Amino acid sequence: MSFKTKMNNFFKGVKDKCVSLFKSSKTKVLKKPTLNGTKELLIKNIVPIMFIVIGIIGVYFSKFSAATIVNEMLTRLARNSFLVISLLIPIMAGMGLNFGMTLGAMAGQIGLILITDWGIVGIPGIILAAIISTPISILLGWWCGMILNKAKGREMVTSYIIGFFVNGVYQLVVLFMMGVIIPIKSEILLPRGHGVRNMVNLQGIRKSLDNLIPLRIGTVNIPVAAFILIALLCFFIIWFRKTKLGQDMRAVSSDMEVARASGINVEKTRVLSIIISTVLAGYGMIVYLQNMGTLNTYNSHMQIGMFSAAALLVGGASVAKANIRNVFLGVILFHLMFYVAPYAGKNLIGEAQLGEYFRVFVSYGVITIALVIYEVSKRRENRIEATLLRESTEGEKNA
Amino acid sequence: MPKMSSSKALFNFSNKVFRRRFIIRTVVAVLIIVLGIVMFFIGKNHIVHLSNIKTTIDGVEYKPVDNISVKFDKNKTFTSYADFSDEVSAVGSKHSLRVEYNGNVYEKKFKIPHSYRNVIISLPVFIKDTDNVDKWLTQINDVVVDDSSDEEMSETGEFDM
Repeated sequence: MSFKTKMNNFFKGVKDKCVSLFKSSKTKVLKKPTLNGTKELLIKNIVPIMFIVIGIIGVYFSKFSAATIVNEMLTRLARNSFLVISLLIPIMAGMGLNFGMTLGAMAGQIGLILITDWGIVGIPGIILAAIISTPISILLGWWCGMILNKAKGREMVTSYIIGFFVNGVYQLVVLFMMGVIIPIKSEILLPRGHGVRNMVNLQGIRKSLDNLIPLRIGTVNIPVAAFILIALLCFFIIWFRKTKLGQDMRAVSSDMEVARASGINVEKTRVLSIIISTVLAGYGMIVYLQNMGTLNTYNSHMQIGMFSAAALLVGGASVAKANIRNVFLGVILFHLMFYVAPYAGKNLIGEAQLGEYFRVFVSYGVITIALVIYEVSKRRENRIEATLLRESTEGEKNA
Repeated sequence: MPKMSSSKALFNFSNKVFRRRFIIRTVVAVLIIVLGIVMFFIGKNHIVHLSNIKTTIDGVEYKPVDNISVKFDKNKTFTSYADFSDEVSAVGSKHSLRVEYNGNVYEKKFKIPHSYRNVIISLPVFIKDTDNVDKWLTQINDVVVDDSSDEEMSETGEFDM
């Protein structure tokens, strides 16, 4: 055996010993105390469990048939899932819930207003609206991302306020520029010569996507084309997680400084996540409104961010972690409550308005609960880590 | 010679990576714009009024014809009666009209100009002069319904938030 081989074997042995020692010390010192399995499961899934209970009670008192509920849930799933999925990428990049998705929604609405004015109908109309919304969404998403980079750690509240600001700009464009600077010639223009009507009839594209591949099982209508589109988006998200950019986003989410040190352009990655989310939100709004068939020009986009975020949180997501399963579970549970609450209220006390109040209160409440739970668990984890670190330091000193 | 910075090098067209990215992005952008233009033309909706009413063109009077079978594009065939008008929705620019009257079939494939939102087709003229499209196809101006009382937005900025 040559000297070189001997030395190599020696260093390999030393290395192996060091690695095994390090691993054993790590497992010994940094073992976190865990809660009882069932209790942990309950705490982690408190929001979905709460909504399942509310849903069961609501379904019982609303006295709806199973077919009616399934039909409504499928419609709402096809209508809202795209919008909710658009929130996943910023969460992946550690930017929390992107309330700035309203920017994309506004871009989608501008596309829809223009195609309605031009009289473009059906699937070509939807595609053209998506094409028009894309550059607007990219521009707004880039701008929003740049601002959010200056407000690290406060992304959610910042994006929420950006939504209000851009809403003002949107109203300026739609109310004062359309008809004057942007030519509008159809009946959607207000009689005074500028501004778009409060309600725009999307008759031309109404249910174009939903009815593209019609499927009816009994009394249940299944919007197959919309579900295919949503499935494609899900596959895109799954694929995207595995790409270099997706991995970069996860690294940025874990620790920005470590990601930067390892050569990732943190700011660019964050901006890209917001751009992708905004563009997807624009498409999601088009899918949503083609199902609704009417566009409330000045209000449709306002609550989209909040309702989508609430649906995602209801599905068991947190501001730091969300997946596709959370999207579908959340949309079903949240909209089940939305659908049955007014009827349950009416049957219980003869007042449908109770259900209306209830669902608005619950949608705000669930965001609050989810944020509080996230914050409490984060503090708990930090406290445990601090205790473990202190214990390990003391142990080393004693040794 | 001083070395270029990496960002400057990226914008250099002689840089292979930049050139490839630039070409791919330009091609994609152009394809998307072309797709938008195609959608703009194939998705255009026209409201077609199939009029079976007395019409006078250049001093010649065309009387309405009763009980004629009309088929517009792939829509269901319907019967048109004298002094009545029917409305159909037509998507795209290329269309066909087929009319059956007294055992004769009058058929014509024609184009509706993209700028025409509402058009009127005179069926009596169509039967008499099928090949002269300009004679039986006319544009009607958009009717703007003045219902300003319904929902005009407040200029004070008070919106339903």
